[in-house]
Amino acid sequence: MTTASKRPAWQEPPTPVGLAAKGLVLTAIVAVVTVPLYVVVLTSLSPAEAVNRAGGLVTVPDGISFAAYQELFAGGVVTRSVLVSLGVTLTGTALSLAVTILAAYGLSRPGSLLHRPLLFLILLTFLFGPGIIPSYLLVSSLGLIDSYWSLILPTAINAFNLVVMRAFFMGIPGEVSDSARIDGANDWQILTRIVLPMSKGVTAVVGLFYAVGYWNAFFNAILYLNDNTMWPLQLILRQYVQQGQTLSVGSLADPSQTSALPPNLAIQMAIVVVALVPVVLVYPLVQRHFTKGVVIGAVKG
Amino acid sequence: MSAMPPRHRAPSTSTKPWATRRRFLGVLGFGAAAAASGGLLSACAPSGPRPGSGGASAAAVDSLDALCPTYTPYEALPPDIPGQHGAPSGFTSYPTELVQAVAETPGRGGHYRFMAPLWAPIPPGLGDNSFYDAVNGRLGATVEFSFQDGNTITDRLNVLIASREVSDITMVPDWAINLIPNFAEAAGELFEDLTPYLAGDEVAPYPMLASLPTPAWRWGIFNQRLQGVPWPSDPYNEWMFYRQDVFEANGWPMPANAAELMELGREINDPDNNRWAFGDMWRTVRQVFRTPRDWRYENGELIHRYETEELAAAVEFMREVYDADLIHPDVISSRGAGVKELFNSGEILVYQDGFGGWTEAYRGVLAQNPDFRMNLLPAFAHDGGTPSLHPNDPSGQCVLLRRGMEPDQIREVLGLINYCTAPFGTREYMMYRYGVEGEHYELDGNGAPQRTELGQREYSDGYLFLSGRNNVIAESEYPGYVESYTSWYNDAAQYRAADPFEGIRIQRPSAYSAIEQPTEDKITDIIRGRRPVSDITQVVDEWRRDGGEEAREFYHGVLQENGRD
Repeated sequence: MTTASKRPAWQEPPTPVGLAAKGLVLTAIVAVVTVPLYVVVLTSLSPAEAVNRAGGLVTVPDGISFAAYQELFAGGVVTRSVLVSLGVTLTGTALSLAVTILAAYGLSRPGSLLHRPLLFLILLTFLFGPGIIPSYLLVSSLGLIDSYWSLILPTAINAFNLVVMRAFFMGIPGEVSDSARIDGANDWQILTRIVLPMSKGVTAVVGLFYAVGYWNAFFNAILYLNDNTMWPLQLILRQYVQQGQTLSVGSLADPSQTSALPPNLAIQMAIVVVALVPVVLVYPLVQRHFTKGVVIGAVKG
Repeated sequence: MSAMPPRHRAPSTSTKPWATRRRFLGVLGFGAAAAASGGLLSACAPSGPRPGSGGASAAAVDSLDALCPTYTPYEALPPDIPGQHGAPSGFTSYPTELVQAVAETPGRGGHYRFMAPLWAPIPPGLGDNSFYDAVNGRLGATVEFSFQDGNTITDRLNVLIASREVSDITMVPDWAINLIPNFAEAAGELFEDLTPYLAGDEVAPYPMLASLPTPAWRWGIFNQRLQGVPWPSDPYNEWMFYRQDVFEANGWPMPANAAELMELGREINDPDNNRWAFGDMWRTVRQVFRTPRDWRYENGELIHRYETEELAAAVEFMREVYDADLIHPDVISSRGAGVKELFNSGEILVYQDGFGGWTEAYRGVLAQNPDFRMNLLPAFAHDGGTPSLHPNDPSGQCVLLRRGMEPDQIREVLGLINYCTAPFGTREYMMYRYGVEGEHYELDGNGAPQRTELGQREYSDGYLFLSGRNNVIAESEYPGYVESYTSWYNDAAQYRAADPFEGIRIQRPSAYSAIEQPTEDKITDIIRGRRPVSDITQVVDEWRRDGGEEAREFYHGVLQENGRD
């Protein structure tokens, strides 16, 4: 596939200057994204002396060391929290997707039971959140304190994702499901055999939204988990960044008695890398659905 | 995309706190007045006395002493340099023989969950942590930590207090208490009254607790009930540090008044060689000029520090310092970022910092630069007289027990707390701070404990936060540190500023807190040359207009209620 063949006949071939300018701009845009990432990864892999020599972030490779990662993963606390986060993300995403698909399908069929009031209730959550204390009281009364479900159930359905998905389902021509119905398919079969296979894009995108949300979430864990061994990765990593902040925070009599030295930069950067890796791994896989997926809601919604 | 709840700040107690007089004095004096006027102990009850109504009795704070444990000093080891005027004592070497302070195993096999803030990585939990096992083994009970991010602990506490689900033991930093609306009221309902266990001679089974000073204990009284175990504070927070090594190499003198400080600054400032005289020092300069910490009570009038001539003089002085370009440009451009590093590297020669910055710097710098020395400028006043140093509140935290525990459980927990109150020089102290020798720490050539790799991995400040203890200056592994610090403290401790509200815990009305930062910002504008010095009168007028006058009325009411008017 050459560029010439795709070019409409009325367009002139690009000038070398124009091409060079485009190349420059694109390179600059890519650099804006990749250079910070490069610096973060490189600093996290640099030995402490290299960080000191560079006086901060390392831009030129100067020795490689995995010490920061070793320190981070020593003791098993971080490793354990990675498992917690993975478990919560996988379970949560699966559950959220299942519930969102079912709800979106139901609400996309005009005439389904109570679909207007239900939709109204869901859209209402765009405008009003419940507030922290009522949320806590609810979660507590359901007996979910100190349970992994407290990280999943309160955020299991996201109104935005539901609306995007419903809009997509409504865009599927009614004739398709009508003909399936004539062939004797019930709603379950229509959903699983017809609608879902036609909605891989939007499912992937909504799934990604949920997964990134679960992976990055930490506030529910602050509220609902007393047991530190149940904390997800993001919360454990936050504690590393807090180190040595006693002074600025308050007046605990003598910080020299309590605070350790602030973590070195390499560890902080290693934290960034660890938190980023899963998202970076998943994005390319979902990316091809991505452009398709997000415009869907925009046009049809 | 996730439905993460928005970050939540402590709500203000009321939109019109002045008008409604909703004040939450966890104060003793107030409680007494309320009791006299109908037995309502809750400080915010609308039927409570109003300021100016001449609160029933002259309820001096001293009358609360009956609720406090009888003070019985405990000294594990005689200090090499005894503290004077309330200053911490110093030890110039590490003891070779440790004292056993708690003879019996305090616990009886109970299991208690303890919620505390932590400003450090979370160590492995119970079951995977040999440090916890060792200390819990010695305690004879299991303390299970539930750590909270130290910066968001008020969010968590607000939720727990609203839902009435508190852990068996809870540590609340003192600054957080002021951010929790109705804390005093909530404390009465959620936390155990320790008065029957600790007041007066009842404290006898807990000799370590009896050794904590009475002013700190008073700080744990809410609504006429002793509820919180305190963390006794040192008298002061911060002062000006200077680079002793550079000063000695150049033979620079110590300043004895403001003019000499300015002269010194001009002499040592050398921007061409990337060396500036000063970092930030506004808060200490205020004390050099003898401004009150907040209020001064004179001839029946409360005068706020903004309204004093001393503050105006301090502002003028700081402006001169800025005009002479004696402050490091990084300090000017960003608010205090990196000051410590600039000081450590010698780009700044004098700056203000909390005292903890001293050992922090030595720990980080001495290995690379063995000649590095820092010290405190002597406490001096602008006119060569004595300064007026702003004292700390008497306690830095409260440890509270869940209401509804069995008396036996309360006694057991108090025993655990007693253990964790044992001071420097005891075996208990080494146990809860370092663990087992040879396993979690080793003694270095100076006899100073150094955590092993295992110790670093498993240690947390949890047991430290279970109680407070009498602080000492003991880091004798750092050259000259103990001698310099104690001699500064023994001198400076004499110059404690008088505070009309000393010993009274006051929940600051939110409107008063709200005008403070804007006013400070305006003063910063003046100091940094963005507004003329003459604007100070206008700034003070605005402060009075925007809530200062009402604050004065409020605080005057507090004085009257406590019989100090």
